[in-house]
Amino acid sequence: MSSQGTATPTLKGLKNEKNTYCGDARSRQEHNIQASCKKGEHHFKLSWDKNPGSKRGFNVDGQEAELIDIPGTYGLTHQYENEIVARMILIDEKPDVIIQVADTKNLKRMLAFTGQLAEFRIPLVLALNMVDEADQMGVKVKRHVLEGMLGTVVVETVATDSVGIEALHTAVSRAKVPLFPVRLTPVLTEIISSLEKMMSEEIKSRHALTSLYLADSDETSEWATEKGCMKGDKAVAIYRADARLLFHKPLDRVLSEARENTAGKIFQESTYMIPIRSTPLMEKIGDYARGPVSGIVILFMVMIALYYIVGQFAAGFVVDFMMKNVFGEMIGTPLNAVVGLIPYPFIREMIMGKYGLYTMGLVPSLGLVLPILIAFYFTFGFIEDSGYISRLSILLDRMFKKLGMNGKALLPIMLGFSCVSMATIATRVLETRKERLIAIFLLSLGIPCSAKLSIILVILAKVSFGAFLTVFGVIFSLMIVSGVILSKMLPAETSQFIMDVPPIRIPSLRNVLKQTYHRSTSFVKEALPLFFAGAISLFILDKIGFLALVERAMSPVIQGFLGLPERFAESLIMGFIRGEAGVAILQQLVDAGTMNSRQLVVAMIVTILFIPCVTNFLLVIKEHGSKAAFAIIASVTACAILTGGAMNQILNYFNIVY
Amino acid sequence: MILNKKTTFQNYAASKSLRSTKQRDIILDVFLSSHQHLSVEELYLKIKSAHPGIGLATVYRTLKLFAEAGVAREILLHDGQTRYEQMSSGEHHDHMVCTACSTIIEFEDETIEKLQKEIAVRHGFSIKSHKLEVYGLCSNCSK
Repeated sequence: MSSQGTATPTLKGLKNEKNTYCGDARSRQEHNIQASCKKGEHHFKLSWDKNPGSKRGFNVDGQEAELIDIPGTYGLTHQYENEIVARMILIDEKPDVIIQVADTKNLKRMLAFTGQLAEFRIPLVLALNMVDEADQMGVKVKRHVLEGMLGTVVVETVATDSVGIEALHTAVSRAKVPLFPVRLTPVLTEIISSLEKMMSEEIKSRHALTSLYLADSDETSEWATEKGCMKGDKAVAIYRADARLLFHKPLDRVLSEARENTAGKIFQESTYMIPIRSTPLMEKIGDYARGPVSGIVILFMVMIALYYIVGQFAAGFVVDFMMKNVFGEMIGTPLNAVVGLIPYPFIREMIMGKYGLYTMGLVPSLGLVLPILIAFYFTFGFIEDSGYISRLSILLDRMFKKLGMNGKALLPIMLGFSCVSMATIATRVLETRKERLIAIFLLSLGIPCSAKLSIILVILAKVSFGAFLTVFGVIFSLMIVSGVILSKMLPAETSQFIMDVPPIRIPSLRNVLKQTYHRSTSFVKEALPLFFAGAISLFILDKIGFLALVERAMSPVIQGFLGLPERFAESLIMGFIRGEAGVAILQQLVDAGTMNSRQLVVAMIVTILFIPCVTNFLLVIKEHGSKAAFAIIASVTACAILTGGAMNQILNYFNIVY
Repeated sequence: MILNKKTTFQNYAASKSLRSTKQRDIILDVFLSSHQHLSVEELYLKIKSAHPGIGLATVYRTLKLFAEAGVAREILLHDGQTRYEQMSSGEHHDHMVCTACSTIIEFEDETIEKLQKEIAVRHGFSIKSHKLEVYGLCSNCSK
């Protein structure tokens, strides 16, 4: 997911206005409630942001407004991270307007959430997003009726095509507190009213806090007591106890069913269905994609397509062209001549030397990693836009369950191929600590980030298909075995797997190209400086003799046990400090032709298995503590070295040549 | 009939060494005189106007005691509220519940009872108890 640039909305007459963007999880993956901002025109740009809770400042015509991004959620009462953050923002930030981005295909469920948001007594704009998909499914909304019933503004949008964005931005200033009458029993109504009266009138969201106080979760309830300044009041606890006596169901359920009842009535009045034609071909394909046999066949086809597009075409043909023709002849040769004129050898070496800014900074990032990344993002974008990912999650759910997780783990695993650190953060979508730890372990063990993946694919393009099968066979088997062992070792059950399955569709080339462009440019902006930093670090470490020291220290393991050249140690160590630096060194080793096919296979296995970068290590400490982080590092390192060593011995013993 | 049920409850309370309290007697009187399927809330509201000192928790606990004593039967309905009806030994009926106005209609049908027994025999099943709840709209709400 790419982050968007800064936005320049014009929200006239909304000085110091705070708008909170509150999307449902699925709508947000469509991301981009955006329109290009043109000078002199009034456009509004809202973006999904990698860091929920982050704020964007808007400054137009002297009017200031702040937009806060809330994690996608369907509720606010449970102890899931997205719900905790969402309600904290709604209470602590005291926004002036809420923009609810709803999935129109699931309007009834969205309206139930509108009911929950209405309790905050904050003006709200309802953006009915993905109306095009709703249309395809025969769901038609009578927008004016819905507006009349809710008493506030409703705007239809198709965010990916920038439809309705202008109307959305003008709607913000006309937003009102939504009407959402909920029918409860008389005594429960009285209890809620009494609890509200116990809070200060200055607290606008008293009703919402009362609902949250009555939630089943004690943690949520305690939080609401604090926010409502009711802590320590015994009467409050009695009210809660009394309310629970009234029902044999949890109060959460009673309140949400009451909201669902109202939502159902509003939905019935404001929408109608047009019968859709018999199942189109795409829906059939979507069904096949989930099937236990047909799904595997389709998955293999997708993987073969990925292999040829990314692994052969991009990693082979395109990278060769970039490295030899573009960075070799077209840029390298004249640059060498120019740099040769610099009178200081130190500077010449710093630019064009073994660890030069050009040789180890610019060339690997733009010549090696970037072409492969573009191909990867392009093909991944197609798969993502078609709606295949959720079906793949369902198909692989059974396999993930054996590894102690569920189908939701597919998202962080796939993100790991882009950046393992980002994927580590994405493990938050998994509900239990056990699932998150297993996912992080497998990410650290067997998922190569984009930098590592690029060099792996380049090497594989030079060797046989047999080598490809060996490397990924070993990695895959290790991941399965580790996952199964960890699943048995760690207590606690795996959580339920519930996933929204969007309609399958022909991917939009425009969308895919846009996503690919944004992701690739983000990579260049973020990674290029890091490649340069890696190159400078290597240059300095080499000059002070540190690299030589590392090579000598690790020589018994690297040369003796793994059967690899001495310099491979640098690649591993620098790879931990900065992934790109490790890749650059490995690339030089490969180009120098000092490794035979067996060594290449061992090098690839160890590179993939070895611990990811220090950023990831720090993130794991942050998410799960240093004990877990060190345990993961130790076991993953041991696994990498032992597997590499074992493969070296086996390949040599059986004299296997690729 | 009401006297019988009062005696049943008093005997139960004595067997559990529970004190006889005025509040429980009041709740029992109101419950037995209502001839309706009452939720905790509904009974509490009935009692509250004449006896504001009787709290919701007391009504709740007392109804539970009635159910334990065999004087009342719990019916768990779809709206989350537990309702209580007067119970007489040997008596059985089923319920139709209006989802709009929550009216509960009792009914008995020999054919249904006979069919249930036949089905149980066919499956080698020995019935201990059963309940049947039919949900829909009453004649008023259907209009």
